[in-house]
Amino acid sequence: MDFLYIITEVSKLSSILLFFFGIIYYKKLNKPFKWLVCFFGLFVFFEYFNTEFRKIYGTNTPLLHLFTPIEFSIFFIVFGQYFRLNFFKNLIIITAFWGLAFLDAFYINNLYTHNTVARPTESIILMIASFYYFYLNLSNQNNTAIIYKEAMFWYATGILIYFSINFYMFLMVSQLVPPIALFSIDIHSIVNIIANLLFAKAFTCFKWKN
Amino acid sequence: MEKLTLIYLAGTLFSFLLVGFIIYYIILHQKKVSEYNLQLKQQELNKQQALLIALTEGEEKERHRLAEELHDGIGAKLSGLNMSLEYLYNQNITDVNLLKQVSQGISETIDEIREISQNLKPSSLFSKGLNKSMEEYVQHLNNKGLCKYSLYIENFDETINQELQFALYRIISELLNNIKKHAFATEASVQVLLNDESKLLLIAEDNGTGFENATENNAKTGIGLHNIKGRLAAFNGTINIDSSTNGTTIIIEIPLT
Repeated sequence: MDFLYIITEVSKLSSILLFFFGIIYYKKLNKPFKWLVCFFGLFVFFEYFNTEFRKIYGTNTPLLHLFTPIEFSIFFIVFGQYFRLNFFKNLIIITAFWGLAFLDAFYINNLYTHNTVARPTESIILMIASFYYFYLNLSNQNNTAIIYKEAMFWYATGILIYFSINFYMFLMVSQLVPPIALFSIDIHSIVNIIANLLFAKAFTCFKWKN
Repeated sequence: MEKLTLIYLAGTLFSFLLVGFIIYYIILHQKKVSEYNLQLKQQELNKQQALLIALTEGEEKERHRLAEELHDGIGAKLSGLNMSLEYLYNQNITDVNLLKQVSQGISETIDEIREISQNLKPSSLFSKGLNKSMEEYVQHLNNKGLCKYSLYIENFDETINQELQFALYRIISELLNNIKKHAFATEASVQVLLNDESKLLLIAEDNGTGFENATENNAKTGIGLHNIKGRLAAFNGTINIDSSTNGTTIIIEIPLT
């Protein structure tokens, strides 16, 4: 058993644990976080279906092309709700991203190569949303609430860590060759575990609110 | 390919360090902001507590002064009158002069009780308004003829709330009381003016002997000033005292917003 195998399995396990954690706290969560739990359930399914898909078709990229806009939609809705974006603004941004993901899957790249446009774009948009969240909280001098007791803080931190550290991997994944390609998967798995822990921490913050 | 690897590694490491630094800074900053805001809230709380203590102290001192007035003034006078009546009764005589003195003493005592009662509960303030009530009070003082009091109050009964009117009544009474009892003045004036409708200005002047250490809590004048300060604190008001052997000028400012 090599390190890559162990860390990938631990990463998958962390996704399952995150989903169960979400289920435990489900009743206390607000609506966007409830959708997030549902998404994490879908994520677990993708993680395991991925492996089977790869065995049959030799690659998992078609699933990745589908997974990316779904992931973006859910992650963005949580920010949209926090920033009080109205339904149409949310819809426009999400639809535009689905359009970009479609172009990436069929015109810019193809279903059997990595989505090197949609994934980095997703990362940039979500990183900007995270930074904006931190900016709003830091600029509000009247805010007496301790930021790390808020679910959104852990959520934004998880998003920022996951997408910023993996950004270069998402951008260069087609060009990376072993051993650095394998190393990038290691890094992705480690960061995925950290992000899952942070999302789980976000769920626990809801017990203070009830 | 090595260049690409290097770019990937450097970029990832840079992102990792950057994110770590940003999160660390955010937590640190937020902690500082929260602590600062809590400190501000604590200061506000302390200020309110101090104000409450000042008001309670003022009330206690007012009661103490009232007890003194009843004991030393009315009590002593009634004892004297009682002794005079006992003397007349024991001697079984009809001394017209002494009876006249007793009658005058009773009238003075009634006046004094009325004055204390008026001070305790200025019912006229609620029925007639601040201007009329103060005019009556000043007229009452002028009737005694010891000092010539003048009063000017701008007509703002409807502009300021009843709490402030009540406080003003108390403050002006306290100032006039101090002049009457301690200043030995022949002339005194009180003006209450509205400054730009955002500030209330109260100016009290007399040509009396003044008082030393006007800001300290010395003797009865000090107690009176302490009460005034307690009342002013509730309205964020300020007091400025200029006292000399030629007289005293007191300027009080109360913000209305």
